[in-house]
Amino acid sequence: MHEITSTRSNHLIDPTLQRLGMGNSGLSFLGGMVAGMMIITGYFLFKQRQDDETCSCRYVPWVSLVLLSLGMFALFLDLEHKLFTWRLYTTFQVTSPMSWGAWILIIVYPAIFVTILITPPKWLVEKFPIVKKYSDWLNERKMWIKNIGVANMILGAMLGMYTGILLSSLGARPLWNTSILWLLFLVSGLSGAAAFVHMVAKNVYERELLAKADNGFLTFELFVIGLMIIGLLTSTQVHQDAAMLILSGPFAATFWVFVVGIGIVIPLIIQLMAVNHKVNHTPWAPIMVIVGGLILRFVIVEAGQVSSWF
Amino acid sequence: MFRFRQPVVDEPSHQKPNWWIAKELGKRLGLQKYFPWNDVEEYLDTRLKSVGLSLQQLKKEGVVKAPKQPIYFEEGVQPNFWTPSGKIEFYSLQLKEKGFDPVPKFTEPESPPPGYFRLLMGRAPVHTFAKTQSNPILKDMMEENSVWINNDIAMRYGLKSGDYIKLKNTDGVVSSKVKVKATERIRPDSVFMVHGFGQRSRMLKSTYLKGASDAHLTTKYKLDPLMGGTAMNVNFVTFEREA
Amino acid sequence: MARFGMAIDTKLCVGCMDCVVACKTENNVPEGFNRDWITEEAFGKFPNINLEIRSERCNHCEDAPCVSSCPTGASHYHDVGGVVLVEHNECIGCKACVASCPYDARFIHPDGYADKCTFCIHRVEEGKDPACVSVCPTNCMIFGDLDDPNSEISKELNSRKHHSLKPEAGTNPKIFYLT
Repeated sequence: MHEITSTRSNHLIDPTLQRLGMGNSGLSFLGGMVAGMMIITGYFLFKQRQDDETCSCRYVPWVSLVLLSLGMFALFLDLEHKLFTWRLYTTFQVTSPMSWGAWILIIVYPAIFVTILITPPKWLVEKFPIVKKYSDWLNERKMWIKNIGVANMILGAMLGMYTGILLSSLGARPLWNTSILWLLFLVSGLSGAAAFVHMVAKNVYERELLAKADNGFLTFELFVIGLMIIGLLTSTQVHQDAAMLILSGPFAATFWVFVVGIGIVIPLIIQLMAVNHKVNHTPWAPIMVIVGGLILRFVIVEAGQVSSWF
Repeated sequence: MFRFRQPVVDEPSHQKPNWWIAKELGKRLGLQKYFPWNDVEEYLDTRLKSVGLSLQQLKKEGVVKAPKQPIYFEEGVQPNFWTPSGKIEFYSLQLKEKGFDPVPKFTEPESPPPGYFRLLMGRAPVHTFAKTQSNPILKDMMEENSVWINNDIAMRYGLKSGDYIKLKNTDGVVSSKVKVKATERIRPDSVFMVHGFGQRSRMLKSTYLKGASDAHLTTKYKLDPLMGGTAMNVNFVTFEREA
Repeated sequence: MARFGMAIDTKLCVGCMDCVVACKTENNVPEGFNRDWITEEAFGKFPNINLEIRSERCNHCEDAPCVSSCPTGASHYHDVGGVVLVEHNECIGCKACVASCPYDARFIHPDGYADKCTFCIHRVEEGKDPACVSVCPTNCMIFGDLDDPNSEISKELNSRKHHSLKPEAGTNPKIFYLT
């Protein structure tokens, strides 16, 4: 028998940490989605598809902008000392993922703005004629657009990784403290974004391409989840305990039913049938993927706070 | 060493001090000659005079240090045990004369009836008797007491640490609800509670019915036939689920 | 350079929580929060029980994850004794430090910033002991400089068996429990 009693009863710390809540899971999910969208947009820009009137790179950046701002707002709401938020931007702490993230978010915004500038919508040009000037200037330089595509992909990847590294750098929470979490979150963000763009795509090329890509991402995500669990199970006792939280513990049902089942396996089967033209493309699979991605973040954030060093 | 403490505020709502309560009780028992003082200063002065000091002196000096007197055997005290032999007596003629066993023998305490457990009470270092439970800092550290139950017993009754139960003693008195602490740190035939909780006055807003009171469950007590000491850990309780 | 640490004698600690009261009153710790606390760890099965009582607080780790995870530098090592402190006016309340602490020693103060034990640095800089140490009725706590081989704490640690908490979390805690 081993019996521990503590007289500590700190609000939201005991008996288990509940300090990171909706804000963090929300930011993590939205950040992942934006990251995936930026990578997809960047890819289409790199492929020089921006002149196609129906290209998703014309409207998806707007979605990114909205989601990113929502995420930033969620992050802001989650801060407890809001008046001092500006302190984030008076320093750069190289060991702090939160500091990296704050700065990445700041450079992601201009990247999205420039992407919008390549193919500005009519109302924007009518309201601000100067936009037209810059847009034309950009469109005369095809290499620039290619590079903006690359920048989008790099920044998107950084943003996607950041959502994972933010958690995995917290060594005190064994479930998060795995070097593969960034990959899980990046690929989950990518699959969510691919599902979303696939759902709203206006041309057959993109729809088919993204459905195939999404199948790839989902398969890869399954592998990453498997590898993460193997990694945890073969590590120290606390990491094994952490793995048990999602294998047989209180989060197992949510994880396997919603994240793996509804979020990955079922949409994967539907989409595999769809790309082989056995069934029509419906929004069901993408919605499942997006919801699964959201629940993945919630489960990992919540379960991670329960896992600890004894 | 003597230190002097003086009241800073008057007692609120006609509360009565300890010396007054004792004196009035003494009066009613016909013992007023032992309580010659009429206020706290006279009382303190009487007591200080017995060691050759006075309240006047203490008021002037605040702290009076008396020369150290040896109190331990190691310090050279020749112990005197107020027995006819002046020694510790394992075999007491005095007891024999009074008709008691000259070598008192251990008598096993009775076992609790089936399904019941001996209620033990004690103190927590945080609180002083039943009077500090509403102190905000101390209350923050220990807001309610819990009933310690041996792990095996708790498991048998399907109780977990943190569950709330009520205790019922053999006279049918039921306590307020109290948290279970399932632990290896107690005998299987007994349960333990910290004294001073489960207060039933609604005026004590912050402590009203927090935890359970061992005092309410102590409906029986036993007297030591030799020296008249009262034993209170002689009550047996059983568990009632908090409905 | 001093390196402040604390040694706590588990053979003397009775878990009276005087250290907790002292901390709360000295540092105005808000109601419902604790900068230090008592942990009782029991091994064995009745009647063969071994009990260790510990007064616990921030371990002022030498490799503190709360400092490295802080995005603004609000969590820092103090110049005096390497004590881990939080600069309230730089803290944004992001809670990265709270989640990064394997000891869960931090909390968010109702005013919004991250808060925890400071080793009573305001007292220590005046040459006094931390409040918890100064009130301990059993004198079970020793505060001092781990780098000074002649300090009381160094002598105790060199002559007695001791352990620290969760050393496998890899943070180099500076509070030691004499056993």
